[in-house]
Amino acid sequence: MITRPTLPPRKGYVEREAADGTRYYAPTQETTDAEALAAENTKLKAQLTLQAQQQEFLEDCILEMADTVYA
Amino acid sequence: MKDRVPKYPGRVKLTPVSGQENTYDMVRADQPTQEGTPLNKENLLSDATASALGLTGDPTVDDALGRLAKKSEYKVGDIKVTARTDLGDEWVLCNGDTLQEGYADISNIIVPTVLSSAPTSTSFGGTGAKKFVELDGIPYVLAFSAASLFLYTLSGTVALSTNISGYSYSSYNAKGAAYGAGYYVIPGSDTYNKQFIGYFAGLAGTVNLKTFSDGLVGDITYQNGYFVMVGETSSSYPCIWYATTPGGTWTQVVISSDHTLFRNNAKVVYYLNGRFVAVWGGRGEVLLAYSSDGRSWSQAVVIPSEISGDSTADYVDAVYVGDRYYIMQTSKVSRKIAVFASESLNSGWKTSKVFLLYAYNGVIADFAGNVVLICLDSGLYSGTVNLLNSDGSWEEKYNANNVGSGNSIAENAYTSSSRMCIGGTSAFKNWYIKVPNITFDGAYAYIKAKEATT
Repeated sequence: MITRPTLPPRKGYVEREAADGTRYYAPTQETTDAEALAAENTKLKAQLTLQAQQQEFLEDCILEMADTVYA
Repeated sequence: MKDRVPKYPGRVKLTPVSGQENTYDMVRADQPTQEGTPLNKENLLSDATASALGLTGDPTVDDALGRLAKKSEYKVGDIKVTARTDLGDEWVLCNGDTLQEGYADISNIIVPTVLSSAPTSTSFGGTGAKKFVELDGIPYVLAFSAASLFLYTLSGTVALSTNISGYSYSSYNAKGAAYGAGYYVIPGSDTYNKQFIGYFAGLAGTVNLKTFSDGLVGDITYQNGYFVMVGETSSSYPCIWYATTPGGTWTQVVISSDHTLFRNNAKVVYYLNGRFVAVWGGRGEVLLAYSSDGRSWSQAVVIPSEISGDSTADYVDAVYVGDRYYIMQTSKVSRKIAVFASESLNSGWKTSKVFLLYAYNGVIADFAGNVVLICLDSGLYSGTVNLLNSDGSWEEKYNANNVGSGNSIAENAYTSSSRMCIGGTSAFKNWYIKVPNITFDGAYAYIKAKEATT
């Protein structure tokens, strides 16, 4: 347990002491969950962007095929 | 207080001391019309006031004022948010750490956290947690299944394993365990006529068996060079055995020939407050005896009890917390658990409470400086953890929903300043006392964990 903190207070992170006495920041469970959500959000956005690009590509392909078929 | 009101302010009478140059005895001669309140210890800082402030030794008025300043308006359990880092060791940073020694004030306020990862019966090879034992400073779960014996760590790893079927025993039925002189010693019984101890030279050692022909063996402890095992003679008298090494001579001491027992497991021995203390559940009574060296024992101390430990399922248990001894006795037939308390082993025992409906299993333990009675309700198959308050009353802190159910609790428990493991025949639960997690940018959150001591 810590009675005299040494690291600056930081929202979402608590100060902990390692076995060798070193102090470090540890994320709270809420922070860990939020970071996981943020990472998942970034991944989902990238997937969405990729899906959109693929959709656009397919639409372009269809248009080109239509041009060829109905030319 | 009253001021001194002098008729002649500052007037004194000086009388030369005979034979000592320029030395005088001085006596006030101001002829007060009101004497005023004397400036002495009783009026400035009496022993009673110092004690009320928690001050010991020879405190000064400044010490008392310092204590008052620190007592402030905050009580144990209050949260303070500040950018300061010099609040003192009674204020603990709210960082989710497990509570350590020396913070008993807050330990009965914070609700323990139950870890979902606690081992279950599966972790104990299907044998269950029969008893928690601390051996060589490490807590273990003692478990057995038929002739197999196991010591598990609290995380469920096998530390010791053996099987005594090769010795023509069909059940180990372990009673307790002790570590001393390099040996792990675990008493057990197969049938009434097959009482024994198994001992191991180290956790990886093979089992050695030593049989006992006169009576029943029971719980065991080791301290100051002696193994002390509680038991019952073949005439059902309370007795203990002691030995320096498990393979050597075990000397039997009969505690009393005036009281007979029930041939059950209601017998424990602990080393409490500098003495060996053995306790037996008797017929409408609890018996105890104590010894400072494990060899010379007191006469039986009789605690009258309204219940009888008359079933093989009954238990007794004992603990020393603060300045008192506590003994618990269960009765499956009476469906009651009685708790007795005394400041002295040989006298002054009083019934703290008789818990109705609770029976079958029970443990009394020290949880972070608090007395807790962990027990199982045989009728409802539910368990509770009861806390003894400072005013002597008991409070049910946690019930079946968050303790456990069925036979899964209260046959035994392991407690420390921050952890409570409650076990039984099918599972156990781990409880931890942790300070809260509170964070801010630019300021720290602290919880007041104890009263100031300086």
